[in-house]
Amino acid sequence: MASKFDANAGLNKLYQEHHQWLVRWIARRSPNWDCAQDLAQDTFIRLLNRPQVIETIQSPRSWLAKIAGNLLVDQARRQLLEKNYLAMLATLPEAEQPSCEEQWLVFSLLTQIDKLLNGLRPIEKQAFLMARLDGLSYRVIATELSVSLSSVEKYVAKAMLACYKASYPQE
Amino acid sequence: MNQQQHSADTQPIDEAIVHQAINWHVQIESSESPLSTINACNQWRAQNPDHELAWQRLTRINQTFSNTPTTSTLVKHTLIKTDADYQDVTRRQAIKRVAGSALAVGAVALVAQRQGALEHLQADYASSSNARFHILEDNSELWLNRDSTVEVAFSPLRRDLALTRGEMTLSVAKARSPLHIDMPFGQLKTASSKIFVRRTNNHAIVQVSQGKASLLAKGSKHRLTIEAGKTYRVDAHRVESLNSNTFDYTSWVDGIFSVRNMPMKSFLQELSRYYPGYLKCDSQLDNTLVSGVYQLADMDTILKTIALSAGAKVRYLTRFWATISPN
Repeated sequence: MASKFDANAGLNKLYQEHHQWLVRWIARRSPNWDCAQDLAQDTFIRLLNRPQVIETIQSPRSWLAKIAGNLLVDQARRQLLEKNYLAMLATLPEAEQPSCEEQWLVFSLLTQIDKLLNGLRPIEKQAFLMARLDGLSYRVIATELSVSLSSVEKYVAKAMLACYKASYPQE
Repeated sequence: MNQQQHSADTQPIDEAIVHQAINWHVQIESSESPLSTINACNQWRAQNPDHELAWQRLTRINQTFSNTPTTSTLVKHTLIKTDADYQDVTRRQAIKRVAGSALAVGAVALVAQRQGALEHLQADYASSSNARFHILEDNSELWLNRDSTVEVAFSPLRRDLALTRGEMTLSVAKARSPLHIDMPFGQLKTASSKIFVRRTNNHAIVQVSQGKASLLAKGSKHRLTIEAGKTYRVDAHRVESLNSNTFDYTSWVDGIFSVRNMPMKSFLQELSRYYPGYLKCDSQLDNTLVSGVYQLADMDTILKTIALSAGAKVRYLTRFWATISPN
């Protein structure tokens, strides 16, 4: 109990001393002001979930900036994904348009997959998606991408490891 | 999402075992007659509970992908395109040597909005989702339309301004030196005027509403004087006078959208500057003439009114995608 109380007090202090600064820090880097408020809030919520960290923080501002920076990149990437998704949808003939619900489902799946495959090289992603989404055999993928069979194996293995690490992060 | 789904299953597994499990998965998938590999893999799975757990986890992850509905091509293309766009930003960042990861973050955020990272980074004045008003140091008044950027270099001897993205309306204050405006395919010079400039990748549009300005088009030796009330379109090859009676280029300053007898297709093109998605009409309606004065803040009403007057209706495929089609 005592330690939880301390952590809350620590968080309060952190919030009072650095919240305004963080909002300004984000606002300088983000396309609009409302989103700076929201992201600052999200940053502190991250901390709320990990009270044990608060006491060990040496330099709070660079720590907050690092979390907020990651959130900004995530958000930007999601927006990019949404924009590209809508553009792709627009190219489909009307008869093939998914319903609104399907569109939403596909979009949440997209964000999920994008997160899983974060950080892979384009060719690794390409090979993996051909195997998983198109159901192509490794041999066909190797021919399509003009690489060897063992390269395809390597790419898929690397992608699976990325998925694993994203799904089961080890602290 | 996976984290939540498997929150009960958080037991750490030695990374070497994860690697082995992945290797089995890949071997089985890669082989054209995998039966013997599957048998060997089953033995490996039975050796140790962690082997089996690693195997199960990977199988569950694979299922994420097989849940994809019929639109798998769409999903794949969207992911690959997003990746390419993202790489593009990172690469341009590196070339420009805009120092520091924090700036890169901002740039990515902006490019996500509408691919304008560098313009926004270097701008002295910028707007994002809404139009903005600024008073410059020489007391000129600058209205920036949404998603627009301007660079300014003023000294006692010279006033330079460049429109690097989007649209602006500038009320130029009188000063000792004339104001130069850089835009694609030409430069404007004016002592005092109210002037509108739009830039796109392949042309620029200039409209003078008060005073006058002179235009020096790229590759031309002669200055063209633009009087109040005139509108010109400038591209790499020519300068042409536009009929400015069909569309009021500057009404956004007052939050209004004003057109007279404009073909619906062009109308929707203009309007889509203010719509965060896709606006389309059925090709039968492309040349239907549209008139009216509308409040920009109320996009739904604009579309509804336009559709009604053309005997058509608006259909929303998503929140970000509206089509006007005949009844």
